[in-house]
Amino acid sequence: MPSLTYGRYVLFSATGIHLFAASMLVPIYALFAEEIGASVLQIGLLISVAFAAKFVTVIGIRAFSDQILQPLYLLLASFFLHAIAWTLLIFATTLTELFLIQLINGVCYAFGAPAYRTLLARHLPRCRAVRTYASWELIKAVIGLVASSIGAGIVSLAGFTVLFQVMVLLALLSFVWLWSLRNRLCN
Amino acid sequence: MHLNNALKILFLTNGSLMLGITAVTPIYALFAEEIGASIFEVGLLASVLFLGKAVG
Repeated sequence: MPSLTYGRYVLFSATGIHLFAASMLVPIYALFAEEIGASVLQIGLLISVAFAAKFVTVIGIRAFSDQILQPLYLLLASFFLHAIAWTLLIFATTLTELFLIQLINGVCYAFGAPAYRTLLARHLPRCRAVRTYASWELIKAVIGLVASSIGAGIVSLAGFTVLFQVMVLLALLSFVWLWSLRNRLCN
Repeated sequence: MHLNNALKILFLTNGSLMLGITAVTPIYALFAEEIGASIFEVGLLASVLFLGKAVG
């Protein structure tokens, strides 16, 4: 019988690693897109495309039950797809490529968010749900705080390519970590 | 559900606030750069935001 506490640690750590990778890029994504040649309007459109992809994918996800779309595998798919999207960023040189990568990112968000929340809900301690969610919010804020500066620091020192390489490694690490400890989670 | 006028204003304010935040977030880095921030400083600005969130 998997332990609720251990399961939560697995979820927090795997998703935390993944969130750290994503948070390194978010604040400076506009600067990268500008470097590729995007105008301010096109940068806004790039973000809109990710939201549109998320919207459409979420509509698709709603049609299936948890038995078919198991949250653990959705979360793993989200981690792996993100690794692919960030790998593609290393080689992106045109705006069209950026738009396509944003489509993948949108799908990742659509997979990841509901899957993570479902899994976390299955690992909530009795009478301490608010505390658990508050802890996660705190972890997210600390990750954002540290990752934003580290990501920008890496780009300042070594450029965007190195940042994307680090992000891919972290995405794969979170994938392998969650996969190897999947038996510790309640399904 | 009946909404009184004060509640309607609150809903509108929250909606507008969210719209404003969502609209500025993707291009905030460009604005900061225009003000004179380096890439690292853009990252630091984001960190300060998260610090505020963590403390809050």
